Amino acid sequence: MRKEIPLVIMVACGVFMAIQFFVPHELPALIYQNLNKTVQVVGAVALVLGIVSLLSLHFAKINRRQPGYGYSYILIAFFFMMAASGFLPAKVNLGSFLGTGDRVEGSFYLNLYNYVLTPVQATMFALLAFFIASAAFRAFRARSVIATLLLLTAIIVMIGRVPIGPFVLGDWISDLADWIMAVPNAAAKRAVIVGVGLGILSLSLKMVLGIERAWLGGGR
Amino acid sequence: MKEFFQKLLKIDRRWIFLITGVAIVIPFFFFIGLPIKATREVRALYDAVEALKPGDVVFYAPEYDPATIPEVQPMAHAFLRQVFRKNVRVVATGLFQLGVALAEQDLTLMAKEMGKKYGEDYVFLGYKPYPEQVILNMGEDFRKSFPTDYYGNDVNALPMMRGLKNYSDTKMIVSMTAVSGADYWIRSAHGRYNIPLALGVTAVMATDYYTYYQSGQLFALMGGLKGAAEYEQMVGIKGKAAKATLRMDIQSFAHLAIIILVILGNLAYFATREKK
Repeated sequence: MRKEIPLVIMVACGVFMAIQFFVPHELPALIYQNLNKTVQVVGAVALVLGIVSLLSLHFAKINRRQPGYGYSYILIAFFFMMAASGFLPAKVNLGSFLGTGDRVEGSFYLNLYNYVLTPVQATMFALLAFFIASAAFRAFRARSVIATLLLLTAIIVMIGRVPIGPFVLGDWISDLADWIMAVPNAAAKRAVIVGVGLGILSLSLKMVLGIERAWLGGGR
Repeated sequence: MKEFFQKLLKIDRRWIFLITGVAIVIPFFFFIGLPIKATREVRALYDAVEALKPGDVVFYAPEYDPATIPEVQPMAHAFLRQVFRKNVRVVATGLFQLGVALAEQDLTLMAKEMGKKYGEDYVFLGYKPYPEQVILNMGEDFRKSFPTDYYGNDVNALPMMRGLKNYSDTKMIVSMTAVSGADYWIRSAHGRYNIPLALGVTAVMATDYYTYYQSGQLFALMGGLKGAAEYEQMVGIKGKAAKATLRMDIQSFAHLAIIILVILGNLAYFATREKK
């Protein structure tokens, strides 16, 4: 029964969600809305599991004094601080440095967001430019016909998508870059999207028909 | 010459970092203001907003985090300036957990600048987990997912929300996004409820969404800093407020530096390659 009940629920939900789209009646619409809400509730439970998993992993790292365990202290401290900032009652005032309990300018939550998260993320992302430049210099080589095509395309798009390209070379370079984006790029992307869509469809059908059961766990 | 190229191939990467850094920093101090030509996919959003009447409502979904501020925030600011200038009302959500605060700050800042009042000219519903389910639920009724707004106010008590039930009461959905949430809007908002949808995305993401623009699932597409700069120019944002336009010079020089590095790398590769 441990496998049959989840399978029955999944098959029933899968078949219902596929059919309800074509049934213009209030009852299927109501069930559909409630199923959507249920997904959110299940997601909230999964969030708790995620938090427990994350914290236990980092507490274990600290206990075992694994390399880099000091970062786990920082993660745990900021995890609780960020969570606390969300739970603070609006009337609480932690002083001019930390801020207030509400969610407007000058609050503890926004101070953590603006003065910790924002600079950290901006710094990490800004470093990418330097690594991309270094990697492009070392790895972007015209070793074969295909690699040369890729290299030329990249150069045309890079120069055509910034104003200095058409300013120096004329409008044709930006038109060519736009054409590359709109035609060869979109064609390749469309093929990938259609392929992925067909893959999802076939896997979903296999699950709904009970052929694919790996999601139930427990090996064979 | 061959020795020079051999040395070039073994150059310490810190020199490359320095060259890139110089190429990025110099345009900060010397604004050139290179001309930017508007593309059809960006103009489509500008024209659609211009065609709106005062009092119309647009649904706005900013979903970007601090890492993508330089690219996406100028789009968001330019779009909000245009809609508020047209006296179009805005109902917004922030369905990306790392971008909720940014969404709120953008709305508050632009509303203050344009003299708009919360609850009458714009409403921020805030965040709920599982974006695709929230998007689907809002297609039935905004109140199903958001009985209260971001600030905890009862949504029914906000004057703007009276008579505003779901997407069909809005003229369009515009999402400024740096995450895969864009797919949810295409699939579950446009696909299911057939509401006109426009996206503003990062340059990296833009390649993924041209296909949806061509199929008509998106009526407009803004890609990266270039798209943002084009939009700023059309809205008529000038001076320091035109952040994307200012940054385009920086991006021009950074791209140029990388292209020169790639060409030099290839010259060195061919000059030092052993013949079979």
